[in-house]
Amino acid sequence: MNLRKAVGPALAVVLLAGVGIAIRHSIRDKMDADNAARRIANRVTVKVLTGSEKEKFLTDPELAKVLDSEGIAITVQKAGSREIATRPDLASFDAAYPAGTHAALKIAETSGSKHVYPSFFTPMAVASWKTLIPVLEKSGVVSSKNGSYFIIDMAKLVDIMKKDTRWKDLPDNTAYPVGKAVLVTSTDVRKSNSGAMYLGLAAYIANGNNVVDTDADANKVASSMVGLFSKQGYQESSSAGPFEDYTAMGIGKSPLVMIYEQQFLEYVLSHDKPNPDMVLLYPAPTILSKHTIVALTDNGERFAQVMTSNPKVSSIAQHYGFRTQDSSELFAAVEAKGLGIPHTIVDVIDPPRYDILEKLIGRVDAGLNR
Amino acid sequence: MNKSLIAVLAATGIATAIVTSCGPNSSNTFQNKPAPPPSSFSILAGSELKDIEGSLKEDIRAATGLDLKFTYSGTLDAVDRIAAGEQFDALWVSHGKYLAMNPAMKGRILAQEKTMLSPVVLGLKASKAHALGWDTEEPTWKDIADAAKAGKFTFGMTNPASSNTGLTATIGLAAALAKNPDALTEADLKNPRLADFFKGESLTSGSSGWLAESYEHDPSKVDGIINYESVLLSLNAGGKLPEPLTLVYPREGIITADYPLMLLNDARRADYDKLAAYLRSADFQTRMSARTLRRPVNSDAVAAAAIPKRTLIELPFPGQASLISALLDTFLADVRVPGSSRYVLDLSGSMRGDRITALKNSMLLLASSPTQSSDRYARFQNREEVGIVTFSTETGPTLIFPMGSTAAQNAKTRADITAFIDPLVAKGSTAIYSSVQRALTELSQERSRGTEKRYYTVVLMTDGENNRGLTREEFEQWYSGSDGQSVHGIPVFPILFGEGNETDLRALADLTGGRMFDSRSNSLSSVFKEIRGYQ
Repeated sequence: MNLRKAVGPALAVVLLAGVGIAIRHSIRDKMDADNAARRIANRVTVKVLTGSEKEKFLTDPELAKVLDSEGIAITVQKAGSREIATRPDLASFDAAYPAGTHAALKIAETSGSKHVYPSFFTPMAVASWKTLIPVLEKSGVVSSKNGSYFIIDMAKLVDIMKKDTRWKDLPDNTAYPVGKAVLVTSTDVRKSNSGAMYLGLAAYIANGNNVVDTDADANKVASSMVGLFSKQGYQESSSAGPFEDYTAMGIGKSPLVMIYEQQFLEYVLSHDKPNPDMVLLYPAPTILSKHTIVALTDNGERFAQVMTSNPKVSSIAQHYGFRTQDSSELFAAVEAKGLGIPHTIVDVIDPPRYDILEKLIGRVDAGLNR
Repeated sequence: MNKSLIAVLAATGIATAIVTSCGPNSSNTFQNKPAPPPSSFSILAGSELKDIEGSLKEDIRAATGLDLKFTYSGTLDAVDRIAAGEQFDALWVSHGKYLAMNPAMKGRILAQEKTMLSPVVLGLKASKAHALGWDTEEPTWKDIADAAKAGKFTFGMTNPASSNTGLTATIGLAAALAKNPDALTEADLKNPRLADFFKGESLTSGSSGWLAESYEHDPSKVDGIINYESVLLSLNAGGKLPEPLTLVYPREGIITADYPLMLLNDARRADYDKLAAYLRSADFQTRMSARTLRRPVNSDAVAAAAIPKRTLIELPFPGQASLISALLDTFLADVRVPGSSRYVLDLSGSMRGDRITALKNSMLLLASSPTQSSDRYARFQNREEVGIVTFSTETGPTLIFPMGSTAAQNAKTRADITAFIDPLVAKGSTAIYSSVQRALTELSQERSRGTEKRYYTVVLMTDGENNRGLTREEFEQWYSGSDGQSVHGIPVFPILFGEGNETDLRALADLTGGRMFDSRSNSLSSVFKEIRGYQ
């Protein structure tokens, strides 16, 4: 199992890079053959349905210029990544841009599209507050990595949560002595990729640090997962929601929030004075989320090709916190803000296989509705 | 270059074809267009958003070119109106989670964005908060329930079936009174301490705005009210209160309203995007906070100085609509202070035809056992006592219909009311004030005999001028004189209908601490449902 843990993500990254390079070559040839006039004559407006975390990126004026030079204008709507596949109006879009390979596969399956373009990636991370760090360190949940950034031990955290621990019961907790359960706020697993990835991560821990990859495993761990979600009560259907609550409502609403690293970095990079109390914790292990374009029409395909091949797009994506094959711009920008960031995410697991994840989600759903 | 080409393409109709093929979203593309003339954008809104229309509508129009047309409604009523096919471009309420979970709304909310924040908290007279020690050490909800049960303080709160502040306070309370403050579960609904809390409730209302007005008008009624932080801060800033309210944030936590703007009409998506973006901009949010004392949803905006800088512990909101419905059912049937009422109904000749049909249908709705959301909560409830006084030339006999406290008694009384209402006929003149006097006198006698706390209210439905019995002047003299003293504190809720005299009815509502409802712009049955929140 350890082998799988190490090899799985590495393989995925190689595949990702491979697809990117292949596409890049074919596009460059094609573009050379085209001339500017023809591209403009073929101007298209591409209707994109995206996960909410990419809304600001996709409406960036610089990105609009790059797309415009390729004869593309886009209109953007957002939805929970896992809701996209079941949208009754999916056929009216040219491209879907969910977070995560699983959500993309689901869309490819329902739409019949075989044109799937992995673009940028980001690790799952936990947004929290500096005032909680001493308490979480004392409980052995959080530790500093070379004084540069913080690691959150998912096994210890899941253990604390499954014991129904209250914040006020954590040792030496004078910072946040409230009766609420220690709980990670996430999105709705049924509707959103980030919630589903959190489930995948927690299920890995519950399965004795093994990726859940059989029906039997899924059945075994599912019931212990329900509480992580039911105790949260109402959950948002897309990733932007919990992150907005985190920035606007603070620690009282959101002491720990499962987010994409990208959301936090986008916030930090777009603010002159980011809230100094906010802190990002890197789960160990974590899951990488690959933002993936599913082209639904020829125009959507044109959009997907530009997005995954144009180096300017990759540079803009990094300004919004996304990682790419070469994330040096991102690292430099983040470090210039005085923030430590791991250049390589080492302790990465694969999410459960598509059908297994769906099974887990189905079981959690049934538990929530009971 | 590009722009001129676009212009050429537009002229040839190609751009138009693009616009048509991709729908209304194309204004979202990155082309510069001259600002169009203001276009109307319809919003079904919670009444607590009236301050936005009052003070920020012009800013919104200047920035977005959208002329917002507000129609106000309670949250549950909004669900019914949308389910019934009423068309609005967007829905804007203080709290959208319960609404969004309602099966009738499935597929109708096409986008949503939070626009403002305000927690629902307890505002208590400063002297009372000090006496209870809550000004220096914040109480838990459990402390508050204990103090309410022991009669140490009284408060006003809106009806949870009618208004968001009452609903969220009840949800928060139910969660907080449980062993652990997690998301509500079935078991939490049976908690006897819920009823302890409501022993301190002495004023109710169907809307948080009216609750605040009512308190401001006569702060002697109760020691405090549960309302939005923004409303309580505004009361303090208004300078009309004899003593300020101390805001109490219970330790287990509170529930914050986040005012989602929800798109209903896909054809207006581009305008919706523009509106939502503007409402969420730091500039608008800072101004909004200064004017309304709500908290910004955009962390780049500046919150008004009057808003306490403190951590707000947020309680989880239930994830299942069925739990909230069950909480409301429990509240109405077993927990709330029960109501005793008189429905004073005009059967004069002018009521013939459509009018008496509308009146009967409204009363029959309250006496029915419907399954639809707001109808279900509006019907006559367990433990309630319904009195009906019909009048025309003379005041008719009073019929009392006790709902009892079992399902069988409930059903029998509903049938009795239906049997009484069905055959009513309209004829004769209009003796309004004599009839209201009778209703008030009877209720005050019941009140003085009563052993349990109840809400006593009179509903007056009339379509014409008073022309028999007591005159308005005689009634007002009686009410203000020594004989009328005993009926004070029983509000009259007149319904303006047909040729009813608005000045007279409004004066009657003001005199008795009630509120006039206008059924000329809304169906009579929805007015009857709305009044249920005040009983």
